Amino acid sequence: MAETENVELQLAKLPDAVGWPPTPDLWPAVRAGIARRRRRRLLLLLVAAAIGLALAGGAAAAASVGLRGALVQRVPRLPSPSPVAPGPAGSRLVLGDRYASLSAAEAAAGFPALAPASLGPPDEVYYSSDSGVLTLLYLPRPGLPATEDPDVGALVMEARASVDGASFGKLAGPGTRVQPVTVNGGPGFWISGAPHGFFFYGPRGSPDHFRLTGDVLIWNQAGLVIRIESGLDERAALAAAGTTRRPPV
Amino acid sequence: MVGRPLEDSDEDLVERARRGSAAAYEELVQRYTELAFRTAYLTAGSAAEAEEAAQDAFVKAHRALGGFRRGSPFRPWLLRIVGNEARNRRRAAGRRAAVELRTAERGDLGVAAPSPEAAVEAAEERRALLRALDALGEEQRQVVGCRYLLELSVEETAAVLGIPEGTVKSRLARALLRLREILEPAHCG
Repeated sequence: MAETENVELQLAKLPDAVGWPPTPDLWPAVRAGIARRRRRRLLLLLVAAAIGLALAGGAAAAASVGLRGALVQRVPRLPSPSPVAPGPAGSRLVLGDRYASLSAAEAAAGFPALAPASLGPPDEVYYSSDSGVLTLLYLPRPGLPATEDPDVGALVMEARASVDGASFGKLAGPGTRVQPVTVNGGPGFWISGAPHGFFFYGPRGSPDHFRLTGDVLIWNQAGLVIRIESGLDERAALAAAGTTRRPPV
Repeated sequence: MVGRPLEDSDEDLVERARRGSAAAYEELVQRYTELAFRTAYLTAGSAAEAEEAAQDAFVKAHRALGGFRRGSPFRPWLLRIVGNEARNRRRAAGRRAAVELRTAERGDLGVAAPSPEAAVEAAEERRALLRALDALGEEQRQVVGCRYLLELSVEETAAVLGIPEGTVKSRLARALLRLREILEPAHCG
């Protein structure tokens, strides 16, 4: 015990003896970060207002279909998409923080991810703590054509399928078809035709970053809501989704 | 006698910052920059990531001020956010925190030594202790770092590391025993 106390005494002398890296002046970057958040908040309010307007305008004809964690609503006209920030696909598509591995992203997300085995390992992995969505990004390659975004072959996005609130929101205009499908025994929809509107629901249930997207397969599996956005046709998308399971560790 | 203006309390600054005062929040940031940066450094493992983690933590803390419980201490609340940010960055990088602790380069560290020989001996003792700290497992090194290098309370250490206070105490006790074993192997056979 005395020896342990001796170690404690030695440790107590250490704070002044450690060669810490020089402390940077953080305030200019913090001030800029606060200003950026304010601008983003204003943008979110505008997005929410535009989506609200689109839904209100189509109230008479509005119909919504839902899965756990996702809501698809019919509207007569889509609002304008949010401005796209320049940069890599992860930034442009507001996918959140990029992680070095799927297991690192899962640790941040707090749920085990599923992945379509037929697509192989993802090229990039993201998780957004704002939306709670984990995203696997696959680059275009033979057999996996580019989506509207030339840097993206497929996006597999997943979140906990909550019955209390949705993670994904979709606005389907007149030219968009919404067909019920079954994927791995779970309910889902194949959404195709004219591009439809897609947004995340933020932590307080407010819409965040509205963009237009092409064909999408979305379904519930193992407590998750999963969407695959790709250039694949319905049959190929369903085939890929059918291989969705826990990836090997 | 020349008076010195009293320093605003954290509580006053937080209250003013909540009402929109940038100057009040700037003062809080300046007050806690060093502690936040060093706390993030211990967890994130690099100065560059520690800078970004501390910076993002201050931005997130500002955003969350509306939900901050009045009357509760600001420091552990901020340190919890710093710890989260630093851990997320370390996870994102997919590696363990590999902070290598070094002694400061200054020659006037610690208490004045009675002789040059004693000063050399004291410096070597500190270096040996830091080497022993580096040799600890990550969990033990972090808890010792928070308690002894950053001089955080048990409550603050628990907030930074995201673990219960009881775990801080038990982990610290094991770390001290392990340090003793490393420093004095001859006595621990």
